[in-house]
Amino acid sequence: MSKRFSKMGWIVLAALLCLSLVLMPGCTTEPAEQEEEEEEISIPFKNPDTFIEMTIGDAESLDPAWGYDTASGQQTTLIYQTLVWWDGETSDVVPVLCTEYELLPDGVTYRFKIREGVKFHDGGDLTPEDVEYSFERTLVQDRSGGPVWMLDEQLLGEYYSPDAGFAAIDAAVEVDGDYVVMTLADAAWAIPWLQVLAGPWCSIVDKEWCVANGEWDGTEATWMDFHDPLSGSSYLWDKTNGTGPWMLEYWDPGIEISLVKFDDYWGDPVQFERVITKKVEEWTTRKLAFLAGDCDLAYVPLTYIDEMEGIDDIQLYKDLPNLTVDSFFMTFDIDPASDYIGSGALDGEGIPTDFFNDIDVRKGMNYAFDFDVYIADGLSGEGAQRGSPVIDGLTYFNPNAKMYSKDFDKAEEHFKAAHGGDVWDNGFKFTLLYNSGNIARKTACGILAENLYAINPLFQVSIQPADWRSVMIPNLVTSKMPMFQIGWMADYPDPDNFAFPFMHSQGTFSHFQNYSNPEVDALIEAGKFELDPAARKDIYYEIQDWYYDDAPGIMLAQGFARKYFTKYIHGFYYNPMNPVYFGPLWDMTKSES
Amino acid sequence: MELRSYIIRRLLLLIPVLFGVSMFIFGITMLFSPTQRATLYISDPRQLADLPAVIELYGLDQPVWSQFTTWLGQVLSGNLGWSKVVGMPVWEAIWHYLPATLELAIFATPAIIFLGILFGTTAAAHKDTLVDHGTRVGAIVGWSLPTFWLGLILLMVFYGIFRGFLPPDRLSVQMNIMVNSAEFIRYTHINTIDAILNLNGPVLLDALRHLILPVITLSVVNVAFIMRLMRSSMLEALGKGYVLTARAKGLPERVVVNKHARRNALIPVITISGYLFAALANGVVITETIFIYKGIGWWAWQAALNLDIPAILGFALFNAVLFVLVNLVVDILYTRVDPRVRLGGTVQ
Repeated sequence: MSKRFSKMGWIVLAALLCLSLVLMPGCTTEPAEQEEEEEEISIPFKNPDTFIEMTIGDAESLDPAWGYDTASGQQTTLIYQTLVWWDGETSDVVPVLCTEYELLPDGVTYRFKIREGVKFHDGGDLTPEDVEYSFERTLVQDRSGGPVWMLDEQLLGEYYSPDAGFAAIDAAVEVDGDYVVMTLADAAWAIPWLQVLAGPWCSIVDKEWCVANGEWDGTEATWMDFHDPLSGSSYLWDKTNGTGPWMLEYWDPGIEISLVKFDDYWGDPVQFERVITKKVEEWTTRKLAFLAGDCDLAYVPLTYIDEMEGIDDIQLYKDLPNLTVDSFFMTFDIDPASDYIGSGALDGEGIPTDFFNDIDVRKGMNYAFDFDVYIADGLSGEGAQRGSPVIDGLTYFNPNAKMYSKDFDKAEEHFKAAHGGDVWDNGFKFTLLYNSGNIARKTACGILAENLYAINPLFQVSIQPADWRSVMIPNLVTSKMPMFQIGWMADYPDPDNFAFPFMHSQGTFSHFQNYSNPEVDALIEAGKFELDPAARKDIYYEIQDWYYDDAPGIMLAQGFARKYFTKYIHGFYYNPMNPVYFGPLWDMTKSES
Repeated sequence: MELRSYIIRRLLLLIPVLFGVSMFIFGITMLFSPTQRATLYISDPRQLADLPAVIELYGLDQPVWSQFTTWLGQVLSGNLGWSKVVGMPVWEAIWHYLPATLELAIFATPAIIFLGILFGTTAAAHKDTLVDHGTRVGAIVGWSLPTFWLGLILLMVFYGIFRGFLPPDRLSVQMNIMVNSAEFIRYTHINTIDAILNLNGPVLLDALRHLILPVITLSVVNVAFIMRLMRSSMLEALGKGYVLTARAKGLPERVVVNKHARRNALIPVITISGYLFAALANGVVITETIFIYKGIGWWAWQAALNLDIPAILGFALFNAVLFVLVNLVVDILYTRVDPRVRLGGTVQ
């Protein structure tokens, strides 16, 4: 009897187990069920004087001269201040730690009157000497891979400060009574320099505090000891002393950073007693915390924006244009050692190393791409096609710039003309890599591969996900990838900051694709140093036309941002140059009303 | 063998173990090219042009033996290197992230062992009955559940549906501010222990509240491990002659099972429990990530993702030390459970 019963028990339990697996809610729910469930959700009001952000990034360093990532820039922007800052939503600047500034008639000398009565967090007073020291310290440090190249270029006329020498660093920024005088390397930098000055890398630090804690002493004798330091060796790496409205309370790397209000802040009072940025990689955890009122702003990846529909207590700001753009670069001279070009010949089993050197191949690729599908599927509609790297938000953006659109007939026409007709007759095979997990880039690869196959079944492109660090970067910097996707984010909103890396033969990306057009190089160099705005506009319009005509890549889209706040946060406005993800917190408030 | 000399002998074994582990891991990481290893220092595509400068600065193109001896020299002088992913020395990173993981392990291990022994004993004592089958099926279901699934479901129910009842993270915002203030002394950075040492009830209760879900997740998933072992070990013990003798003496079944059989069945469970603790204490990445309970597992995961080689090596050394120590403790525990076992010798 007991034996029979135990068999029955087994059956019943197995059935229960199967039922439970079917009936138990999974990690995702059907959209209809989800909406029904979420419509009832209201977000409770919690932590009245604290602003909490949950995001996926963490600061690399709190040393303003080191940080080049937005997560670091966010924290240093709240802790430190710069001489000037963005005026509301514009790319103009207004004085912050200076009270006024002027450009002298020579066109290269700026005079900044330093604000009085400003206190550092440890009690020290802001002086013109602090400002001079801050810039010189930044130029001296000039770490590899850091942001200081902008200062090197505009103040010293070099890309690395050691090339200019200490005398040039010393002379670039000088104190003159209550003023600080800065001498630019060229008059062409007069406008971009004010934009560079608003960047977190131009934050002002306290000289006495730095020197007392073992930082560079300001002398020529020691400057090379502090040049290009190893990661983490600067005292300011994780210790701060700025003039901003909040000061560092603690930094738990990879977990959270907590800032606390600075009582002696010189500016208008701020509401938030604390600003906490938490790194929460798991989306479900972030979402639940947001809905439970445990954070005021959550980073929502594009793939999950549907889950945020139908929740009443959310404030959504959308279609905010980022100063970023992604492009599909075509490599003009592929390394023959590449694993991604098949046979390496135009025999239907691969592509030759100079495959993309033919303008007809490049134009054919552009006509084969479906930009609308890319924006709809890859970016969930959150972007706009651009014709060149000079995107909306940059000076001299041409809203009527020529752009490609999907046209299989024209693509066919160009492919038939490419490489003496061999491309069309023999077909080709190559591999596209994308960094695994990046939906937009995977979508772009898929669109291109499918459309090429639809144009001619002999055009066979395989797609392969790859790790960004161990596979993509090493292949990218050695020109082994036939095509690669990568994006650029503005350092400052000048068209040169985009045209150069995308189109100049020495540009960060164009260099790796071996793209070189002497006429384009000459135009970019002319644009960089042109003083007359009308002439400069003509140059950048011409550069934008060149991108269409020369088609060195498939210019994809300028992405749009979304910000999800709870309804309790007020006062947000958007400036794409503000590295603080949650906006101008000093002007923002939180209340239950 | 005397306990002290036994411990010393076992600890001396650490030296070749650590050397072997570091050689092995270092050798594997050197299969990556200098460019691949330099990408650790690149946080933005804008920095790609500086890769050659980064390679030179950190000596990544030096011969393998030269890089190994440099690293070994640093280690021998007490410097395990710099963990780039968290921006702190490796040694400091271990101490920084270990407390959260230890706190999870300290609470989860006893729960798992207790439940495993209880269920295992019960199942064995009621072999082939509904209780036995139910316990086994339940345990196997738990064992089969993916941690990320169970963790998320628990979070959705107890944080989502029951609006913030059992939240993720180690402490609430207010308690976090409290423990980071000057009034609260962080002796161990294990919140529950620190709260007791500071005689701070609210922090203790808050820390316990935040521990419930991750501990349940770890327990449900791991309890079958102990339970299955305990059951088979118990069954073996229950078939032994001394159990028959005990029963023949007329001892109550409860005493026979709990006192005579269970104690003898514990030896394999102790071995596995030691490893279980070690496995939990070297990090449970998914649980730590879902519940924002970031500890050493999360750090090692980040280090591996980003090719942070000093961190990977540091973590490997930490693991080696942990396992050697756990083995040692397990061996000593044998002698306490079974008087026939002698240290450094054989079973008498």
